Amino acid sequence: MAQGLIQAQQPTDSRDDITPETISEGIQIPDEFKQAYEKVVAAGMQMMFSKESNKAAVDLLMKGQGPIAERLGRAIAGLMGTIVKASNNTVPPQVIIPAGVELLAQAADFLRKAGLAQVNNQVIGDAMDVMITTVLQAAKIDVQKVAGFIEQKAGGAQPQMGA
Amino acid sequence: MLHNKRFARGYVPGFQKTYLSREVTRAWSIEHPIGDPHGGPAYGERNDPVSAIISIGTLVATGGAVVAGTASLMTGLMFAGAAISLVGNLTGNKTLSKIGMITGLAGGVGALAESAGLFASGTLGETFGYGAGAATGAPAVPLSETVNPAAGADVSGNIVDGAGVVTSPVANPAPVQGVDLGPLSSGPGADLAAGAANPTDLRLAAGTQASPFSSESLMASSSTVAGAPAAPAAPGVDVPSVTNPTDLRLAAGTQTTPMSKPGFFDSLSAGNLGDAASSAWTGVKDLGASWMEMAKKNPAMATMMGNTISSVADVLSGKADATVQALEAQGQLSKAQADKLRFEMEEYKRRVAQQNTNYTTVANPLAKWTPNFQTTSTAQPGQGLVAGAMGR
Repeated sequence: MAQGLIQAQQPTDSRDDITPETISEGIQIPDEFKQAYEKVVAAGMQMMFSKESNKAAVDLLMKGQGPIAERLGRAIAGLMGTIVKASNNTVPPQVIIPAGVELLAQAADFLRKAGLAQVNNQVIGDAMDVMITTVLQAAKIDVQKVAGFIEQKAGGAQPQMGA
Repeated sequence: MLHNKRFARGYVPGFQKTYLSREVTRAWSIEHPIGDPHGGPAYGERNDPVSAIISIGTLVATGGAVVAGTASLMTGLMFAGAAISLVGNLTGNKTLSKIGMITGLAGGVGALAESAGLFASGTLGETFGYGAGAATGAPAVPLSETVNPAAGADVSGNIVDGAGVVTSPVANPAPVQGVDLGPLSSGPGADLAAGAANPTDLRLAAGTQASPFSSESLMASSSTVAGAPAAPAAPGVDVPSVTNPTDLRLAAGTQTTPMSKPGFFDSLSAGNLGDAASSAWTGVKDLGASWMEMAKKNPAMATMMGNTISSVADVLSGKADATVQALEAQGQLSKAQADKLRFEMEEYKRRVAQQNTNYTTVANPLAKWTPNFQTTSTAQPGQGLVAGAMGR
């Protein structure tokens, strides 16, 4: 759908109040996946922030092509892919996207606090969009169709009967 | 879409309650589950799964059940849906907002998977990789049609199958596609208004094609394909011997060809997580390659990556449970966060040091001014304030 003039001219969200904490609060992992989720997040954070890899990871991120949001989203998707692949495909697919979201929030927070890039809410949103789209595309899932279907299903939502 | 409660909690022998989809509920103007004259909101029953507002906690539980049956990448969307939705709403990103709405969907991913499976000839099913339509070469059904029409057929089938309900006059089962909701709501045989105070007394139009549809067959076929959402469970589809979703074959002379390669969800449905995961990441080889390339150039990082990731692999494959217990995932996370904090501090120190360096080397003209105190002037006769004043 083409963007309307007003929509296109909407100012970007320049606030930076999306923090890893607010993101984490929105991620609800069932107990059965909690351990796997935490291990994947820990592995991702170690790859991003450990002494051995941080500089290289930052270089990878900062020297890429395109806007920072796209670089961040694709880097996190690639990181998840690396973890999945290197773990002999033992990572449950259910934790891939939540872990990616968490890692993205942590990476964005790091970039912001370290002053490496201007990371506001808009950048985080765009990066998350890129990351999820990339992950779903890797699974040959059209994110737009999924979004449309969800909207269609949720569009008919009505208050609980008798409530 | 039907939600049969027979195998859910509160099963009462003799009653097989069937909850209708929201569309069908509206079309029939009823609020009761079919099969239980003493159920529904009037009797304080508020567990209609279709219209219930499901909290995140409930969704997570639902997700767990879904995962147990049809583990999927999409389930992860549900787990992170609230966070995604939050970011989408804050930034005005419509895609994220819509995706995040999955947490508000009754049934969550189950609804998606079920729909995609039940209406597998639709484009959504193909998108999700169930691909019955793709496998059989059947024409794709527009997305909008994947939501409503077949649900009517399911309803009619359950009426037939329900305990104590009026038997459908239609004897010949027909494929679910083509059954329209219209006759159910307004057709001459849909005896809703006159004398049909009890929704269990629903009568189908004479011409309505009703198909016996038992939830048992649906569940059986679901279990047969190892959690796949029973795509071809409609009558006319022969699934008893199906053990691999890639080998689905249609009855009634429909020619089908096995899919050349199982998709992501096919692999998941077949319980082959390895194939599913590798299938999932075929599209991000380049991205992952950049990390691997980075590791190649940085031996220390490669060692760290190897240790980190292999521990993940060990954990998840159950090869080193004892080690896993010792490691404690939360401890690892805390350590990683500490690493992050340490790096941030170092980065901050580096910036401060850089600022100091710049400050000391800043081009300050005063810094270069060197007063020459050796050069002293000696007042000559007639010079100076006093002499000058006196000489005036």
